[in-house]
Amino acid sequence: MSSTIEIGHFCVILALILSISQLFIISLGNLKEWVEWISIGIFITPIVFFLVLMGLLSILFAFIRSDFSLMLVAQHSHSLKPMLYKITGLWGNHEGSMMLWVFFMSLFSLLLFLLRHQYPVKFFSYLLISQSIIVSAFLYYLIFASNPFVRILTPPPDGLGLNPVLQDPALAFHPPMLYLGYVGLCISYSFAVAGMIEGKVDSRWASWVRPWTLVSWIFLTIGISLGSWWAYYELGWGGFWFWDPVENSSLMPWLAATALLHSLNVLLKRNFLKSWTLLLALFAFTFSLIGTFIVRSGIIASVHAFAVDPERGIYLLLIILLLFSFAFVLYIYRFKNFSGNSVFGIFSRESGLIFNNLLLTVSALVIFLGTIWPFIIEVFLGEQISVGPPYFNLSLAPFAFIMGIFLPLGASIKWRRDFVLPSIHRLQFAFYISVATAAIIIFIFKNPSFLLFTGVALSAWIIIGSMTDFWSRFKNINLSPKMSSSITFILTRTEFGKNISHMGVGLLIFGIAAVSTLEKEVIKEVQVGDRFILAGYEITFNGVKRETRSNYIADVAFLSINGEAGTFTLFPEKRFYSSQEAVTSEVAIKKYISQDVYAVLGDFRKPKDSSENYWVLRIYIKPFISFIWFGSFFVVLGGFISLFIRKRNFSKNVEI
Amino acid sequence: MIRHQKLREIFLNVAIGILCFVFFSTPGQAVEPDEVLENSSLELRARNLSKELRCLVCMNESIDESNSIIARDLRLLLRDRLKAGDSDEEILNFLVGRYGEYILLKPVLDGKNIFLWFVGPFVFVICLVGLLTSFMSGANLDKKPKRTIGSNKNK
Repeated sequence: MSSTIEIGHFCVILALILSISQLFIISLGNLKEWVEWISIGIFITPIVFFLVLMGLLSILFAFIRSDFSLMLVAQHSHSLKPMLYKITGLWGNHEGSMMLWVFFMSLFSLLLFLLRHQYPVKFFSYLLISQSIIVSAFLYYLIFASNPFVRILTPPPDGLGLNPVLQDPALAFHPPMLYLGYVGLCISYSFAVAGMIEGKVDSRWASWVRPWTLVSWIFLTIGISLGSWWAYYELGWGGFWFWDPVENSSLMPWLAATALLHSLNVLLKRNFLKSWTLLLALFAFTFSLIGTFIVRSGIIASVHAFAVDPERGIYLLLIILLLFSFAFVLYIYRFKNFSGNSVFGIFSRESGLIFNNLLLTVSALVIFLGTIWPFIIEVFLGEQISVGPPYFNLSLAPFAFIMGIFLPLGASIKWRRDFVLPSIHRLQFAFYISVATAAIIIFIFKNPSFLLFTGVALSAWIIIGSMTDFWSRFKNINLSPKMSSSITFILTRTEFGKNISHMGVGLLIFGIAAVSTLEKEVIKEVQVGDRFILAGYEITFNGVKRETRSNYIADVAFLSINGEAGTFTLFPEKRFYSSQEAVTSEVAIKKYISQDVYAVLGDFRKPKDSSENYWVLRIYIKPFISFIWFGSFFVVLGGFISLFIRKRNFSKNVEI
Repeated sequence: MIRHQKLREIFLNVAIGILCFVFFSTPGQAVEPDEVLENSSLELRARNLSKELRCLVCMNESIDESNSIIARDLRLLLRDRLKAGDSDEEILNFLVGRYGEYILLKPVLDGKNIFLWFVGPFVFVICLVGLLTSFMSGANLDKKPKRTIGSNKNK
């Protein structure tokens, strides 16, 4: 039975060989202009995909069957795990997640293959050259530096992996989302490489790259939001972003991909900004590789951890160097082809998008620097320093602030040239609303913090600004009888996806500003029957009940809470997993639109000198935190809308 | 021999896993009620300070979030100093003297970190100035007859 693993192993090795030969067949076919070679080479892609799929499935079956003769399963699974988490255990570890990573890569290659008729054959073969380099590099890495197929001669009776904290749906599904995003950016990279080999990058090229970039950007956004959501309700103090190196390494490619999406619009509509867009496409993928490197090599946790097992890290570093230098040499070689200029006024959509790109890339640079800085200092000066949330908050705030101010303006002005006064006039409503909200904030809080004040005003400015932009475009559509019924036409013309995403950004800013300045908390020792008040809620502690469940014992606290919106109960828990000697907390959250009531049960205390016992209880009031998730949802929704309304008439149709 | 090493690796991993678990995953254990100062303005200062101090044994947590023993000791130490009337700066200096700069989550602005703090703004300003000057020199293009735009589009 377990021979399936060996078959899978064999398939993956075969995939590597085929992938490398594909590179040579297509390259040679292109050099010698042997058309047959190219067409044969193209058909290697689905075979490689199939082989990698077999490899993935063989490991997946080992996880499902709890086949502990596979080292990966023995280390990271357990026969008592629920089936869902047995399956997701596949990517809960280094080797398995690299397997999934390679699988997604070949999946994207396959998608490219299935859509090959959209692209000229020559261009498509260039795409596959780049894809086969990437896929080969990572297959090589998988087989030689992180092989998931390693067996154990004498299988242990049971596995070691039953970490209860990691058994959570949001955590189980956010890595695949992130990987899809990371890996999807390899397509943008390949398009950049193919464009450079061909020496031609124009609006047609942009219209090809845009949907692919959008797809990976959507996955990245979903992955990041799920991760943040998981941290919020699972880690137990209600934080939603920690500036952890792992989070940073997902944010960097996200920022680069966001910048790329915006600059692609310039290329699409106005056919310039070519070399910059190419660079961004290269950087977006490089950032996603660097992110993987940071997470996988353990370099940030400690330089010493890296030195203990440098193999993984060095291989990855070599791959990054190989892919980046290959593309960069190509870029320098072809640079002259892409130095197109265009005519536009300083006050135009083009300028707005360039400014947006500047802000996003500088933000990514700041995050990158902050993430690797401790490492640099340790290597060059031998000193240990930390770079944490206070640094990131402080050094990114100015850029976020500038971005917020210019977003509605930059997004609503016309291409080529616009006039300052009419544009501001168009946004006057948003401006008034935002001033009014600022005034209300001052009125309510007397002396509000700068973050709250600017955050709320900016979010009103962005949200209303996006709505106004939509409305003014909607008003200007001339519904000629021929095309009037087309919803797509209306959605395109009103730049609906863009406006929805930007509204999401506004909601997100509002949520972040509100929750980080207005949060209230109480940490208390309570006895049964104790009653206290927090932010208008009367909270009664009705004691703790011990329950024995399938594989843990739970202490369940009963809280009845009386607020303006009615009475409700919360049951925060503390769980003891005897098999792991682990304790976890299950928070209880009552969600309102305007705030979350977040309860955590802490320790049990029995002071020596008294007969009374206490429980430690923490209650947090998190105002408007749900807006963070709403905001992310809108950002993603906007992405989907833009994805499904394809801008077909790209070259001729310069918008008014 | 190799098997043996692999097994040791497994055990090491498990041990690290359990340690991580104990240190990072037992949630909601940060500031304990018995630590909280009665003077609420002092307590607020303590909370703000403890968000800027790293829990020395944790991956990436401030002492405000961490439940490790050293984080608790640091929180108590911090509060003792506050009660003794030290200023925020004095406390930070004291802690840096004792544990090194590693404890600060916000790196100090000195010679070696100047790069860290200023590269972002510097690059931003330079690029902005560069863009604007290139614009100034190329802006006259705008006044050329419309033909330029047309020919550009046909490319």
